[in-house]
Amino acid sequence: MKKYTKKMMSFFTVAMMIILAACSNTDAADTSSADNSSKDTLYVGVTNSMGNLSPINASSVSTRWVQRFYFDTLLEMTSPLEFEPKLAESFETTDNQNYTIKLNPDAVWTDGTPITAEDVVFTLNLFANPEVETIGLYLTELEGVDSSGKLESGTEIPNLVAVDDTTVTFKTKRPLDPNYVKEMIGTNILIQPKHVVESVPLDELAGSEVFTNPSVTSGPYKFVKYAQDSYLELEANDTYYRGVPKIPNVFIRIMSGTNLATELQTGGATMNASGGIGEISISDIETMQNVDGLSVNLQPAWTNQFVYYNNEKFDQNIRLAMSHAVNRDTIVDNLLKGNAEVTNGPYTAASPYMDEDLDPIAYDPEKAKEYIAKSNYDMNDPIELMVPTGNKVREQSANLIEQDLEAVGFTVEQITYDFPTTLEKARSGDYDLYLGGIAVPVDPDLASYFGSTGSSNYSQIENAEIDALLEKGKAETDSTKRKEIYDDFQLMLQEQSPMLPLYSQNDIVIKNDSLNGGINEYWAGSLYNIQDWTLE
Amino acid sequence: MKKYLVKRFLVGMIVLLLITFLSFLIINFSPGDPATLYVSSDATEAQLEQTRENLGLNKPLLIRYGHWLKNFIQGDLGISFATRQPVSNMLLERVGPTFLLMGTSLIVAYLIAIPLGVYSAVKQKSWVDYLITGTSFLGVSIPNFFLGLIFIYVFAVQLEWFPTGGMHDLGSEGGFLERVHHLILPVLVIATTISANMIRYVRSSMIEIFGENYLRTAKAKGLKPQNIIFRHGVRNALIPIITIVGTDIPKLIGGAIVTEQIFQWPGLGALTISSIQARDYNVLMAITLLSAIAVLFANMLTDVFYAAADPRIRLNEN
Repeated sequence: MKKYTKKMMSFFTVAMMIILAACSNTDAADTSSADNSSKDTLYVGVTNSMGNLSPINASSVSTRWVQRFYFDTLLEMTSPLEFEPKLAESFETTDNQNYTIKLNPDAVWTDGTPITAEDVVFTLNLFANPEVETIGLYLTELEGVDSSGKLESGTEIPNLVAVDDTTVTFKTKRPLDPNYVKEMIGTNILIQPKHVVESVPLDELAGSEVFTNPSVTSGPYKFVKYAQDSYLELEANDTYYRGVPKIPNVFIRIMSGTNLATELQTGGATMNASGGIGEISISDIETMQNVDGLSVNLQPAWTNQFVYYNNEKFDQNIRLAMSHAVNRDTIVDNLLKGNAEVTNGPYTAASPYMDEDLDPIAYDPEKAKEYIAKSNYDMNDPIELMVPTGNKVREQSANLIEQDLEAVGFTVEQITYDFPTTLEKARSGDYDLYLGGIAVPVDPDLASYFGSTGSSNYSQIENAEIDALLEKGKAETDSTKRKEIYDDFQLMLQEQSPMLPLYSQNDIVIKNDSLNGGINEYWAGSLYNIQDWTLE
Repeated sequence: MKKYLVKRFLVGMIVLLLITFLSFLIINFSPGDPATLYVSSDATEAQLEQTRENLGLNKPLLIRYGHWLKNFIQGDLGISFATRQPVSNMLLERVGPTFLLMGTSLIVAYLIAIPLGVYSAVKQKSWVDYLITGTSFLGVSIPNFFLGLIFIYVFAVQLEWFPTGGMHDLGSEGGFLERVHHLILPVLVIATTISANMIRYVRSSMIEIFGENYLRTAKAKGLKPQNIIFRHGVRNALIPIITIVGTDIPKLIGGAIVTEQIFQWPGLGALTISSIQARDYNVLMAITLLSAIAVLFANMLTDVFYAAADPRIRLNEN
């Protein structure tokens, strides 16, 4: 027994020494290098799991991004409003209403069948089929399609024609900015193989093998396997029409942000997906910057955080009072350590439509009190600030916002719910104040968020002037003139203050130096040249 | 005994039925409309309605329960809202890894705890006893996630002895040694907490036995100390321990949610969390049921073991 205790003692001593060594060794840790990655496998870290893999009904951003590895779209937007050909060699219109798509004749499905105009027509009709559950509102401006992007039962999209094997023509309801049409139809819809999908009955489509374990695809990579909540495995498509990818294998690894930071250091992740679906915590940025062999890049993102005002409960004066009472700089400086921009309108610095000349919304408690004095609002009426869990910075910002509002005399109570609960309450207008984000699209049309009939008008905005401007902006076909209209729109939002823009957190883009390629400044277009990425 | 078991089984079935009804109510009454989670943020009311219909959410609650129960009896657990895949397939994929992780952890924990607990009790109030109880106190107090992160940092990132997570290397199916290699860190984390608890139970149970008359008799008879401790002491001390082992069995299924997440273990714990966040009713129902069955089964098993280990209990039955 004595011997045993001695062994125990030596075990504990060794254990303590290891832990102590590790603790005193933090400097060494910072210079540790992330060089364990292999040359033929790319590991991409994402923090949001892929749920439904259906290429026509994937609701999560991470799924839609991952699908672009194995399904191609007609076009790719490589930077805002810059369209590059993918399946479509050209995508043109002469009158902003009639469009002609010319397909790349070299494009083939992984089973060797050519990708034809029939596939495009089939996919668009599938999206518009009222019997099929599909994501997005990409087709709403096509003839014969309603505001939910659906056809009458049993009909097909009129004027959508496969002229020959490589030519498709279609027509929109009215003349529109071609950039809008290219973004909606060209970059969002993953073209499906007609000869495979049409054999599946519509009501069995949702969970079918064709979608969840696709073997006939068009993208640079082929789908190998998805282990739910764990990883998605891909391999290079050796018949890819834009060149065989140089990196043979890709693993999309799903993990928490903390794990992602660790894996980037050990080489278990070559890059993070960033773009809001592969994020590490702000507090890990510095650690990452000190790791040899990793490069860290911070760039403007497209998600904008807001305080949603319930416009039915607060008049314009009270809304303006709140907007001037909140010190948004402290949120960015203290909580985000400067890794964000304060936003003054709905668009972020990444968007070409952000009006750079717009005056900032001033932090001015005195002005706030003046607005309060103009209104007959009962300041003792408690205001509920609804905060969804899941985004740490946003949860913390609620405390600062509460303090600021109380400093000018409001009575504020914070309530925290999990995300699904807040979403339901926000949709039904069952809240006073709500902290939520909007992923701003490249096209400036924000009618669904700010229009009185908008599907995501959680703020219950009913403003004829805003509606008129939004309609004018949508109907204008010229990009330059649209920019002017949306400048006016941003100014009007400041005057009306239906919602308070807060900040847009920078995208944290990290990659191993062994990778040539990776995330672009315009995140959504990053995969355009993935076939040319290499690992050293 | 047989009659007793049949009775227990029948009661178990009724309890299970009640559990399905109650958990169906609780899950469905939880705030948050699942349909809103499976459409795009700009979805129209018509799109939402279509999703609700496809998920079967547009019917009244009781009808939905009846529907669910009918399918359940036929062995159909329904379709996951999030993946649109059969729930049973998803569960089967996840049960194995959790079972492996928790089973190994429990065995390792007992192998550590029982000898240490006994030794600690025998050497009561010696410095070894203080060291063991002190360390086990530490083990109980350190949260799993913290210990997990320290282990990953020290043994995976710094020393590179073990992988940071997962069940096997990506791209390989995982041989036996590879599995073991991946198991060591998470098992150590879970085993630390369980054994730290267990040591204290074993120790106090042993000390209690030492005060019993029959041990004094054994001593007086002049038996060897080893004989006293092992044949008379440990065997009797283990009876209350069976209860604790019984309560551990459901953990085989429930898993260690936090540890699974930290070590990227593809088990049920991770699925539970993601299903709650995704309001994936059918998956949640299935997981709840599985846990309920595990608890009922474990209780039954404990009673049987108890009866086997302690003749007094058997005699009382009759």
